[in-house]
Amino acid sequence: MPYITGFCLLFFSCESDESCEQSTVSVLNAGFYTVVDSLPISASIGNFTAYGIGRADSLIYDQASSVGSFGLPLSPSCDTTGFVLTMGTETDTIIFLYSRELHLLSLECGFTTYYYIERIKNTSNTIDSVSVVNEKVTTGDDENIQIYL
Amino acid sequence: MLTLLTAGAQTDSLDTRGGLRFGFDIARIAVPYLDEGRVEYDGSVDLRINKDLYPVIEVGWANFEKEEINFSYRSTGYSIRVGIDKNYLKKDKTNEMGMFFAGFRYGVSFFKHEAPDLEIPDPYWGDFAGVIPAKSMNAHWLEFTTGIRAEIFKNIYLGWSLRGRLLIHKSDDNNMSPYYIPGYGKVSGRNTLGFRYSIFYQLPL
Repeated sequence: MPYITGFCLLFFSCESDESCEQSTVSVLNAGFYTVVDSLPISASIGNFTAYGIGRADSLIYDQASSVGSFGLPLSPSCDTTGFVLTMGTETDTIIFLYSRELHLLSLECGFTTYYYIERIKNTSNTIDSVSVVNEKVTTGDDENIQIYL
Repeated sequence: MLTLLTAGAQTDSLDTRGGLRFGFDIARIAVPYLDEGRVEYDGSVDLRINKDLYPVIEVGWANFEKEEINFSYRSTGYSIRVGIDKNYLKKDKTNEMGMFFAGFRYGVSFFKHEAPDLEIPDPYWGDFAGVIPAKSMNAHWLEFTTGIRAEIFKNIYLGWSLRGRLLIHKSDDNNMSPYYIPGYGKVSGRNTLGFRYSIFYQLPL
């Protein structure tokens, strides 16, 4: 009986109110390449403009110079997102078809959308071909597609 | 049960008659006040099988709700823990069930978790609002415990115990890893600490 003590307060862990310190938007990472002697070589574009189809009023890149790699935000509420890319003087359209998965990053950051690229369609004014090197689009920096010029 | 008790008496010259003891964790009453959105109920049954060994079954139910900045989370379900306690307290009366004990439990939880509403800020396409519907999950773990128990009135005991829990397995979920497991607690890393403060009633024999 004398041993009975109630020190339960000790054993409820404290909550930490940390703030989110990472990106919560998943971005499709793309890189420009050319083929020299059948080897892919990184390329860069002198005058690069990009916007999402339906958001022509909001440019993701606006006449950016020497762009070798870039990020495109896929739409979290559709399974298809198209972008208009202007590379120098030529313009191409690229359309991504994908599936989506909601993913909890952490309590502080909440959810993000992961995308799994299923198919890509594009016009070929400047773009020669597009290859998927990593179908999973996350908040990380891994390259997802390679655009061959 | 009678044969069990008789067998116990034969191997031990002491009177080892114990009985079924039912416990209710009264520390759980304080939980919603200390951690808003968290409700837990927990009970136990133990039985003395010889002088110092007490097999135990514990059953709990819990509901956990949490509001974060961009989402809400809910986890609700049952847990069952089965194990044994060994008494290390020397006794004046051989048939009293007061104890200083150490023991272990193997715990299993069956629960559902969900994110009833969530929002993802998207600066380009506009904020996205969604739901992750309830999904059935399970988890199991090993629990080590020590504590004391004392008879305060005839057949009524009070006692506390500490719990160290080691998570063995939890269901996979690509959307979100379980944040709260009924019976185990909040998941951060591979272990949790717990505390129980219970009242017991011993069925008189």
